[in-house]
Amino acid sequence: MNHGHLGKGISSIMHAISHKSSILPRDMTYSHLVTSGLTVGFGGSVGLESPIVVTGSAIGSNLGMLFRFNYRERTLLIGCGVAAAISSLFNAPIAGFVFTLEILLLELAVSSFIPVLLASVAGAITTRALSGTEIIFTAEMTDSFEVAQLYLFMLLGAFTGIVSLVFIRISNRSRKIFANMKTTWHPFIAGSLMLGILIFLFPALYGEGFTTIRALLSGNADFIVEQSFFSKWVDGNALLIPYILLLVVLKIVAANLTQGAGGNGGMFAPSLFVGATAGYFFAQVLQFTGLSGDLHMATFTLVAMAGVLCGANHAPLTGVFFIAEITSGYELMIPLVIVSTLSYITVKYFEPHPMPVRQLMEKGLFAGYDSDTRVIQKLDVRKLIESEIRTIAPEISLGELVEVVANSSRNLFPVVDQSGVFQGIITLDDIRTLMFKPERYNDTFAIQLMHAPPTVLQIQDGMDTAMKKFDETGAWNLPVLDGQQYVGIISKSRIFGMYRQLLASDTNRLDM
Amino acid sequence: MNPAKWLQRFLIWRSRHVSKRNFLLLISVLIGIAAGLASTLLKWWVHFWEELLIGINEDFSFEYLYLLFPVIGIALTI
Repeated sequence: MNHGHLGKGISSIMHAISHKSSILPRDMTYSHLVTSGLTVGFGGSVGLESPIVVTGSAIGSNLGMLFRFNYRERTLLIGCGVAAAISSLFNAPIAGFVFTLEILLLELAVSSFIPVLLASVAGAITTRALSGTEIIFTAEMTDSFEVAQLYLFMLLGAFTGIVSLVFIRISNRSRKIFANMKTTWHPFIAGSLMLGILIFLFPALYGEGFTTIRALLSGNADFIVEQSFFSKWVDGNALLIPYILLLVVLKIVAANLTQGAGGNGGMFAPSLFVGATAGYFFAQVLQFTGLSGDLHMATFTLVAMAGVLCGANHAPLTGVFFIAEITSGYELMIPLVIVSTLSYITVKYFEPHPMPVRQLMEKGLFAGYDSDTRVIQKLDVRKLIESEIRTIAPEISLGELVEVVANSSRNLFPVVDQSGVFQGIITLDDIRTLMFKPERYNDTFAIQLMHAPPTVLQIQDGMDTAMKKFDETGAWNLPVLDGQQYVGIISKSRIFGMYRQLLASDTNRLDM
Repeated sequence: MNPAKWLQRFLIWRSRHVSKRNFLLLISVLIGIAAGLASTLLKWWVHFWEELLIGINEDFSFEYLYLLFPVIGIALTI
């Protein structure tokens, strides 16, 4: 049903923005809704946020096309769609807005905040009007933050960082394994059967897993064990702690199996589940070993959710605002910020790029974080080539050459033989002294005057290679070859002109 | 008159009477509402299947069905 663009989720939006003029196919406005509902409704262990984000951005892009908005405005409307999608799914308008900045890496100028915020709020209001004010996770906040507990939260930050790192590493590994399978049937059979077995043994892995998170938050951990195959052994004793840790790891595996098998869904909800179980585990261990006094389990569970959300998605602010908003618990602000920041720093040290970016990099499609890299990527070597420059045959004499020079506005002449093979170049400087000696006109030939260029570009070179060659040689013009065949000349000034033009259209600044 | 003509007329009217900036704000609100509808629909759609499957499970009281559900779900997705 999803013809080919399935399971790429957020990375496919990033790709559409950088390489496809922010145009998303029209069927994307509903196809991901249908398929992800089936995946998750039948127990696929992934989240709905990635499909709804794709849907929202497709709505933005297609309305933008319908009403003839240009590339910059369309990109902004995609941002609006993404913010509104997250905002309406989780009833969290600020988190939706921050998600757009941090996860989609949309560079918004302050002046363009307003439409995105408007969309975000409109999305939240629409869901509220239709399904009431529903708070996804409620936790009774008994105590606010105490300075004496600071070290515990710092430890939790490092711990969630490590858990996030495991999450990312398993995901990268699993993506490779599934990508190496030959047919579409192998991943499906292997992935979905293993998933079925996991869910059968551990029903907590069924679907998004929000029921489990709610149970942990209300201090009802036995509920998770009760339904399980292993309930006889784990029931209410110390084995609960390793059981929870097992769930942390198995959820990561189950989410990846679902995606690898071809299910449609994202990693946002799984990272919430992993965070909640990891936090509960952490607090239980501290309490069990007597390293700390009585701890408020719900606080640690919630804060760890933010920690893993930040770490696994490289999005420090999204995690903070997300948890604060969905629990309407702003009392937790300080521990949330501490844990999220530490988790983010830990992950960033080992894993510099977020998962969607890495997916694009693996395919060589990542367009860069800053405008400069992005613009240079967009420049196409083929479009910059000047092929109308007069070429010279190696056997022509100086006299004929002077004639050519007189009739040309350039000071660079590529020497190309009859079969089109590039021989060298002649610049005006090479012949300046000889030009005024008519007696040499007939006994000097181009082949004696030409020299090799500092380096040559190949037509299949990417723009980054081309820029590197220009930087290394300091040349202003370089010949472009296809193998040995001469194609044309690329000049720095032409690159510069094109660069300026693209840079102007790249920044998402709207004068509001 | 066909829809494309109406759109054309609307776009012309828009360019005469509403500034692009204000129109963009209007569209962003529209996108927000559409995304809100989409996510409500999605939640309902997931819920629909979950309820249905829980019902089936209760009727048969056969836990091994949990082995099969994800397989069916992903098969339908592909």
